[in-house]
Amino acid sequence: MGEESQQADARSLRDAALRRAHSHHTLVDANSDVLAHAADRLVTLDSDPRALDLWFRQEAEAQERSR
Amino acid sequence: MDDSLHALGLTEMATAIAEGSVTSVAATQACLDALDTTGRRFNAVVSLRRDQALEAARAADQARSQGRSLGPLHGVPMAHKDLFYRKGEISTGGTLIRKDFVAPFTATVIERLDQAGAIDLGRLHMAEFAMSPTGYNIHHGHGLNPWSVAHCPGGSSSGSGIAVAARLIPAALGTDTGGSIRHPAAMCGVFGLKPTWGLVPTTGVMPLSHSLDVVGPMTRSPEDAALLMDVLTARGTYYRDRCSGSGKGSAKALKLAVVGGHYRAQTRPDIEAALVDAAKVIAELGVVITHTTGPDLALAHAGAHVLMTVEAATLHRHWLETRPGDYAPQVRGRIEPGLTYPATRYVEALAMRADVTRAWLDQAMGDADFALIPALAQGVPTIAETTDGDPASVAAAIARCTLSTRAINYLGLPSASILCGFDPSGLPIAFQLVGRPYSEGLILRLSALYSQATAWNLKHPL
Repeated sequence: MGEESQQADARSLRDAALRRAHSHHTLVDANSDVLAHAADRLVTLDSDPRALDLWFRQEAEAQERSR
Repeated sequence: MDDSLHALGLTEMATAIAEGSVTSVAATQACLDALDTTGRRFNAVVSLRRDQALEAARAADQARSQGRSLGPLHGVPMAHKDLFYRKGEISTGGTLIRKDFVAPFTATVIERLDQAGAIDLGRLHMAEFAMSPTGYNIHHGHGLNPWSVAHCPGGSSSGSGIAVAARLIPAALGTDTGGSIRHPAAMCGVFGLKPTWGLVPTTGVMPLSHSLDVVGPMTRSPEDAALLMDVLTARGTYYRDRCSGSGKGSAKALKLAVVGGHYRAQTRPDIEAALVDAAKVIAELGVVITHTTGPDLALAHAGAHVLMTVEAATLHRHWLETRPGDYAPQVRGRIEPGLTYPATRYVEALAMRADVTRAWLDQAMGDADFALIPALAQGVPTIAETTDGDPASVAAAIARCTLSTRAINYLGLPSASILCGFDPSGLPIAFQLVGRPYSEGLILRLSALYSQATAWNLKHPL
């Protein structure tokens, strides 16, 4: 393989990686904005990352008790 | 090959074996042969456990002859997505990276099926690392939809959808992180149930995202799914009891919310018409119908994306650095964004989850027991449009598959995909029945009533 061809391949790989990184950052930035805006309203000092898990466990226990 | 045996449904086959009209060996042989021929033609099969399955079937027949019952699935053959571990056996996860991975222990759900007497025939096609809604896999080839081989079978539990739809096996397990049971169920026209997050054990199941992953049944009917749910949850006959005794009047105390807004704005007209018809049938069963406007799903979609990609990227970081070329670019490209989210966004996505779920239940369901939404708002895509062409168009075609499914995983709610007709190309149309946490019994009950009233689920492609 000639030097020019190798350089072209390297350019192509680099361009693909840049396009991918740009696409990732666009998506991540958009989702991060949505989450951050909602968090301003919904996340407080008392928020618990396990809240859904705890709620569902209570529901499951209640259903078991009623069986 | 005995054409009639592998075409039996799960309950039907379990009853026939229990009564002695069919032997487990005959049923197992028929299903193995069907998978080995038709199953391979549609690329549904990864590996078959022919010798072990037939040995287990002979033991099941011998036990029956001695008057011993092994359980509710005594001698019934099944096969599962290739991410359910069995100790000492290869579990590829649909990947090149794990092509030689030997499972160090057996998945809890596989142990429960064994204890219930089921025969494990082998492992089925799936998307690489469970990371595609279409059935795409460059290492094993694309799964093929038995209704039309030019169209996607749905993923990531593609082989399960294909094999159950084509009547090669009576039932299969799948997993669902953003729709991976409901996509193949909808695209192949079978019944798929995504249970409430945390209800069915995921131990020994290759993970994608711990906060979203669930295990569930893919079957021909809701009644068969109820039987499997009883075994998977070790709950006796809890789900079968709720599914049975379903006369026309038994749905009268129930209420269904038909959700508009986001869910209907992007729905194709023929699919919209099928959903309207489904709601009419459900109303005729005596269910009270209400109409609600669905909440904006941008936050739930963003939350699902950050949880799935961050958790997947955490599990994959080492391989992304050391073996990037062993992933399909499409799969690697869907995991990589998780490497770049700030940790605070991840914790916020978890912290807001309960509030967002309560808001969705209030707005979409109100005081109803269920919400009706599309399964695939834009129908079954072709393999070509989800694999070929410019990357943006391919990404958009793939994203359309998850429009109505992904948010449900963030909310953690149970949801079934139910066949409700066919489009002009003869491809399945399905709706989702979403319920409150742990309301699988009610979902199965209404699904059974609907399926009995319409008989859509009796249609099959081959």
